[in-house]
Amino acid sequence: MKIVVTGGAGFIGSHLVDRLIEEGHGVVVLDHHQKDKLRFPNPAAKVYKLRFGDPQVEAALAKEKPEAIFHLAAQISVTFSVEHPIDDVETNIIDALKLLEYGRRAGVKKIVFVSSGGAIYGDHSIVPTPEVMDAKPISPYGIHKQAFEHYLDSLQNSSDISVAVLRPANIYGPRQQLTGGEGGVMPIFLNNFLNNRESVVFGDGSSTRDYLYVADAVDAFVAALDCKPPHPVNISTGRETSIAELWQILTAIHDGAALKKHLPFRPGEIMRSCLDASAAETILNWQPKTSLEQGLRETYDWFRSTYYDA
Amino acid sequence: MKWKTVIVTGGAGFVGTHLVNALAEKAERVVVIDKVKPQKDQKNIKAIYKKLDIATDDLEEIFAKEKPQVVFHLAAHIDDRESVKEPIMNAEQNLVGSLRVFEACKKNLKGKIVFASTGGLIYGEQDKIPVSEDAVPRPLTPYAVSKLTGERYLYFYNKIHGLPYTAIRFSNSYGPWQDGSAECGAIAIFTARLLKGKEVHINNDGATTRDYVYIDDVVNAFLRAAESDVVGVYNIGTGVETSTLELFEKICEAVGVQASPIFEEEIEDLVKRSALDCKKAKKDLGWEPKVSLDEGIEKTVKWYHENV
Repeated sequence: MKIVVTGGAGFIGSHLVDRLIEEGHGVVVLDHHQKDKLRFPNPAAKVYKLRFGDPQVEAALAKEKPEAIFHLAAQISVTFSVEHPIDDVETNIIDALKLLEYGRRAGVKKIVFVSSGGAIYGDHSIVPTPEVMDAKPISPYGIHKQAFEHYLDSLQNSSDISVAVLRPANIYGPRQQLTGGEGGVMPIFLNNFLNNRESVVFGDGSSTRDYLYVADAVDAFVAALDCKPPHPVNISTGRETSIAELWQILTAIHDGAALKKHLPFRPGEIMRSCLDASAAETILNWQPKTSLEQGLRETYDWFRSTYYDA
Repeated sequence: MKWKTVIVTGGAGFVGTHLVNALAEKAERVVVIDKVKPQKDQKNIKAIYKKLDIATDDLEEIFAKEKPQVVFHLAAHIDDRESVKEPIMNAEQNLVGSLRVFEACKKNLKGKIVFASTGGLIYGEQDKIPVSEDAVPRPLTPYAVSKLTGERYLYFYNKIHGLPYTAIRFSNSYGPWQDGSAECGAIAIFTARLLKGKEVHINNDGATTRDYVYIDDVVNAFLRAAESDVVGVYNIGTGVETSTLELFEKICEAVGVQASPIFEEEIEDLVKRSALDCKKAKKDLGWEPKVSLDEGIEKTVKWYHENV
């Protein structure tokens, strides 16, 4: 199948592209190769260095005639969205709606949208959080993700395009950028380890996240290609890991000094984040396979060889 | 006067026109922002009209100059069916436009913003009717998505920037000045056509139900929301379901004609039944609808008869 992946040269996108090519699909990448971010283009993929809302995308899709689009690219900074909600909506809604329109005109039949669990649920009272549809995200970033889920639902109702919406937990792994994104604290810790710098832990280290290894996330994305889930589906481990536990595992992997200091919790800090993974098991027949120890080991080795030994 | 200055976006539209007339008695200065000029007979002589498009024109300047005590945000692309065909245009007007209004409010509004949301379409198909505000919304069209998302942005502006808001989820409003030539507004369309002796087309079998609320009741809800300290979303409707066929019969009676509609199976109604539970508005705003459907239709028909 011919498949377009937006953001297909980035952290998660490049893993997905590698997998799709391995499985014999023809892959077209839309990725504008933002400066200051590492890119990992697969040589077997056709790469268009475009933003997904660029007008040239229409011609590109008309030429390629893909059957499916994985939409992963986005303005991914929550902080930016709080300070610049209009720019956030211009990129993540208006441009993304343009992508849908170009795709529709080019005959796309399937759209897989990578939404966000953490940003939509925030500090939800139910943990692990199931796929609730009336969550109240506190950031424009979470609001636009929710809104785009609805736009896709509307598209599905009014066309022959089938849609799958995935709400992943905190995805981590090799190729993760040093800064920004939803990866959270992990790349920051690793970077500090390798540069012998002190890490900051906010609060007592008891706040939790649901860390999902990138290869497992990609398994779920691929499973969604042949599936029409009735609602957005959480992609997660369903396991809470505290910052303290994460620190412990990482320091055991790292064979050097690891320094940290504790500062008070920041206002608005999410205390617990963990997504109920049961719907993904039923709907996508998917479960994560990689233990946190295994995944962190892979990630650590990659960070070390990429950012440090090089 | 209750207020020194208020701003009404979309003040040249149907609901806006009525709201501006009511506000002219309550505020010293009523500033209307609309991308179209008001019709001559709809213009309130006490109001100031500024022709501005909220999606593109500079709003900071006028907000900074006027320093409003209340902002009523009604400007929107409201054609639900068109929004399905033109979701980008709808989002530019309703999401970007609203965010630009909210940003201007963040810096220049000392009081409250009252947002015109939608009660008919935010909920989509629900099992429990009348539907209350705590139901999980199921917006089915880009227009409905834009209204729900506008509410969610207001929640963010309230939590992060302390901007107080009330979102009015009103059901199908009707009354004088509603455009009888437009796609939406069954009462206006039926009335206009029946008065001219034209045939009336009804989608499907006419069994689709809606909650029809008279414009004066809607305006009253906006005013009460502006006067109150409550923050959040409020249903404004009657709680009564009326089918399109029933509505047609009522209007025929009010107009004084005997007619049969032509049934068409053109567009599937995404929402088959709709009515709003408005207990929360009664409790927090002391609001209740005062005009019954029969009375409201009578007033509307009388107005069309005299004016159109």
